[in-house]
Amino acid sequence: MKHIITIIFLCLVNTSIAQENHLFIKAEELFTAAEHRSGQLSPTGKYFSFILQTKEEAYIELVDISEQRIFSLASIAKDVRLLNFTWVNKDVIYLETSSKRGRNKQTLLTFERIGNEFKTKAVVLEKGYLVNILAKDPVNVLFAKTERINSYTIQRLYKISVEDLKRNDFSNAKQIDKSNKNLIRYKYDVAFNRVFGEFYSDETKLVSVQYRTLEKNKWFPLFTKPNKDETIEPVGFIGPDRLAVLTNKESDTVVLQTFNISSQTLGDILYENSNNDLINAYVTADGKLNSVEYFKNGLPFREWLGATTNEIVERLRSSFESGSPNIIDESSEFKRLLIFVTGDDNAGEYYVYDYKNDSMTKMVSVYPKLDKYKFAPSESFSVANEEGVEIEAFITRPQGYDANVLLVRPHGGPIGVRDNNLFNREVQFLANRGFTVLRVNFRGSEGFGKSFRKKGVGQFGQLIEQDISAVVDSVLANNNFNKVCAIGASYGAYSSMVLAAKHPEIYDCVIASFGIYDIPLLFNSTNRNTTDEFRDKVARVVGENKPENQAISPVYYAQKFNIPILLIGGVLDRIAHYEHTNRMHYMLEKHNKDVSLVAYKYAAHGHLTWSEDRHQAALEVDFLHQKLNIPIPDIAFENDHNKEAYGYDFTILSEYLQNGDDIDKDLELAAEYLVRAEPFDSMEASYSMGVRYLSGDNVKVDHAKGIELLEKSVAAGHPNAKFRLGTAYMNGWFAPTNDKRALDLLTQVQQQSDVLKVKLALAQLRCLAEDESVKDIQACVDEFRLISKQLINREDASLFSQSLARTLVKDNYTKQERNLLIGLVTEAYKIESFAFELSVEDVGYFEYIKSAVFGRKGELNYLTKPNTGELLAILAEENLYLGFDFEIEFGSFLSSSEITMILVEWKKFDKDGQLVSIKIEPITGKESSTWNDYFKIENIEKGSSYQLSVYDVYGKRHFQQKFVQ
Amino acid sequence: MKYATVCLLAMFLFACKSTVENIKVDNDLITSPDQGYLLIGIQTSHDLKSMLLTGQAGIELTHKDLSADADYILINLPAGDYKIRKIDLSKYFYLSFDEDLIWDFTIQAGKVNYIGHLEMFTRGYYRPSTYVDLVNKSSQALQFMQESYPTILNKRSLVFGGTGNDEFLTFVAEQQGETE
Repeated sequence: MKHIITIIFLCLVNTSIAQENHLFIKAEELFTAAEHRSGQLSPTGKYFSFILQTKEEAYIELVDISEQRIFSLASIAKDVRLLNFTWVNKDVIYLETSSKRGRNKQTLLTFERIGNEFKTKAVVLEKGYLVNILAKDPVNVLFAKTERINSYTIQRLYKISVEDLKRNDFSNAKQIDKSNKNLIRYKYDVAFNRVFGEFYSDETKLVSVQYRTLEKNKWFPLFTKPNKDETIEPVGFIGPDRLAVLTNKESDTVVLQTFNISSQTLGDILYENSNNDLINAYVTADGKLNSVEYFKNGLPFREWLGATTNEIVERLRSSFESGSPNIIDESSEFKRLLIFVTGDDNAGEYYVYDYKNDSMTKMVSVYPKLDKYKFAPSESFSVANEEGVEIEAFITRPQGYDANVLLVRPHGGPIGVRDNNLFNREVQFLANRGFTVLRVNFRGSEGFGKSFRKKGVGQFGQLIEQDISAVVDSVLANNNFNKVCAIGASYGAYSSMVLAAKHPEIYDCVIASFGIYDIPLLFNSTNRNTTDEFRDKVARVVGENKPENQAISPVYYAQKFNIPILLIGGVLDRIAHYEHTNRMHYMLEKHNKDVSLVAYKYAAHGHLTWSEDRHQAALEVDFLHQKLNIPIPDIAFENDHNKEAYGYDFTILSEYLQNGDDIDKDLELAAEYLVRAEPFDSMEASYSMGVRYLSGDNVKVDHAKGIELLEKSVAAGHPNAKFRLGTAYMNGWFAPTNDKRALDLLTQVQQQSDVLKVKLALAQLRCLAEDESVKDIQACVDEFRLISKQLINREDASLFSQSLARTLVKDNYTKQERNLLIGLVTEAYKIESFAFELSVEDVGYFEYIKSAVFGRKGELNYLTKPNTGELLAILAEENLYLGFDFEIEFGSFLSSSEITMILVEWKKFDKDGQLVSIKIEPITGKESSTWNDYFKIENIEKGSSYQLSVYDVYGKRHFQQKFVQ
Repeated sequence: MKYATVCLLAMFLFACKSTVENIKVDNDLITSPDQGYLLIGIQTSHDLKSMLLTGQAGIELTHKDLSADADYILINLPAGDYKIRKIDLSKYFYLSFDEDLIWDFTIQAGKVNYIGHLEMFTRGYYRPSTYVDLVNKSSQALQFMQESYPTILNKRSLVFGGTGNDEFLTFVAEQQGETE
């Protein structure tokens, strides 16, 4: 008899129960990287292991399942991304990391547990990848080294002992194979001890799959992968001469079929589902097929074959109300299974099932911050289209607050792409904000067989939209929505526009992002895209390149749209070129339509940063509220959480417009959004407004108000507000110096995020403080010294220099204290001399003149005009800089080859004489060096003035000049 | 003999090039009926040394108009078929498009012929490669002409003269005509 498995919640990490009241999702908690990922059992099953990803670092975490204790292996990925890890044996882990510049690195991490401590040792491996851990051979593994020869890469496959790999010593490793440049990657079949290789042919542009044994240096052909509508993927060997493959070569849907290697022919169909393509099949370690996987109601469904039907799996399914539980790992020694559960309303959770006590324990959520939310489940259904073919669809209804608006959301592609019922951030955000979302797997979608997919080709704006409309009609017949809008990205954007144009009686607005709106442009978007090869590729989706395509392109019928439209585009988009969006916008404006355009300067065919995702989510919801006249619901003001969530949305909308970095600057609209953020009293809004009042960005400078707002944001726990306020109190900026408060705030920030700028501020505070209980010069110097050894790039070094320079120009040190600081500078910068005489040659305004010769840098020419206020006023607009040229002369006993350091400080005073910003940096050089410093000032405020000061490391001022308007 | 011919051709090709500069003032400079304007957008992360156009006439655009902060180049040329033959990235490195048809374009007499945006970017940190494309941004070119050269645009129609076939500018002009 099937019975439900008891689920135990292990409180290792932040796990909380969803609340009864409707909570609005905070965009920054939803649109972010997974905090816990790559869950695996250790080989014995003693530990559940996963990657813990923070903003700055990644860790491998081990949970001792029996002891219910969590251990953190040393941080192993700072400033790099930890891609994945593999257990090599019970105390060795293989790690793959990637640097910011995309360079991959492989590391072998050996660890030893002594009591509750873990000792770790990391060795960086040769460039390459781990092919297989050879589970049947406890001594060796297969590792492929990659080597760059001229312009191509070759690979060498080695069998190497784990002990040698731990030392990165390949001298005793056995070379199994040396590839040519066409090998893509080695793979290994455990059941039959065979190496797979995928080879790309430059001539045919096809991938062929071959195999060989470990012993004999001879490759045997398996098959060539087709590259168009058909597929053939190996699953594994099921006999010496037989392979199981997933293919649709002889069938409409992807089936599991045998492949005879000698005769190169497909044989018996082992499993087929007449409605759905198989997406996976599994072979046991001894070469027996045990299960297949396909989408059922939008979720991956694993079906166990024949007598192997897994009772545990059936019970698991009964144990979860929603979501799809999948066994992703198992261990024989401890008899445990690792289960991953995900689904429409579940962002992912790891559980361990223990055979011994027949219970299941939750390990971690992938996004623990989302545990508090109740997500909206999706209902899967189908509607027959005009041809009687069932079209699958998903409707996601809001839980709690309901704005009574239907959003029809066609997917992209349109060919070979599908919607599913897995957790979807964008859908959940919209549903959480009160919108019902409808998604449709129209003809052309992936997963329903070749003929269904082919039916979508060339049906842009035609039968595809008929399918969508059939589903929309059915939903509208059974529901009563106040408003209906279409929202989509890529092809979905196009489809949304077409639906709105074809059915003006249904649609009240459109949100179209990263879309295509001019079909002929797809064949002419760049000179490279006009080749026959590229056009054929496009035609396989769009249909023939013909003049009639203009008629199905919204750009050419812009006059038809009489509803509000929001167009969103990525300027760097190389798939749906931004020109599509710009054309659509141009034509809609030309016809005086209600259209808004947001162009992300750094987005391509979608966003590259989470921040942009959050901004777009807030933008869409705001557009819907504004254009459909939906008031902000009362529950948005009901509790601090909801106020924070809505406040964040308006703040991010304001910040993007204010900064103008990623979208066009609009200070007026930015200010409007801040006003709208104010009632929510959120820490984000308070922080953002506080900063503006301090700097005078688009508001009248009001230091007291700025500090008050930052204090409010600090009270709510905002880390950036703590840092801003901490440094303000430390330096006496905008408020009287308060060392104790500064220490308290900066220490709090350090506990939340121990990043370089916070470490530097704390070190600086220990030196600058006048309060004797805070001041500790030795601690200051020690901390600076420690930090100087941890700097990893130029940006870090620059931050360090600025912070140290700011510390040095203060003159509140005793001789002994100053000597400690001088010792630090000597050590960090290798400075030999600190005594110099400075003579200024030119000081004032410099004009940048481009060189007339290609490749030569331009010059900054000194303007001999007097330092009039007129020049300062136009400084920001012209090619003008403030600056000075000077010479340095050492004492006669010093060699001219020695190096010294000066400190240059630029101060700005606002019209009331208040200090509002500072730049300070050290300059090092020899006596004979060219000495100068120039400063380009943006946004000159009327009545403000600037001051240049030069100091030595003893804090003695050598020069000062003021620039006034 | 073959070698000598190549040399002669090369000498002829490069000897006959004339250096031209971007039109900076919005005055219609076309005085002869067999001339047209070339409009090309420039989007490059690095300053370029020069660009050689061959065909109806040999034209060299210099670094003055090809810097990283350049936007568009508008010049008047004899009408006819042309090719972007060579782009000098520096004194030592260049890109050559001798055989490649996708760098061909046509200048129609009496019209402003937009041929695309020359987009050049470098990928890869350790082994950088330079990619170059002519990207069709007709609507942006139209907006540019409307803002910066309204007098010329008032007299001359803007057409797409780059590789491929794009009717957008013609469609806009026709709609404009219908409205007027």
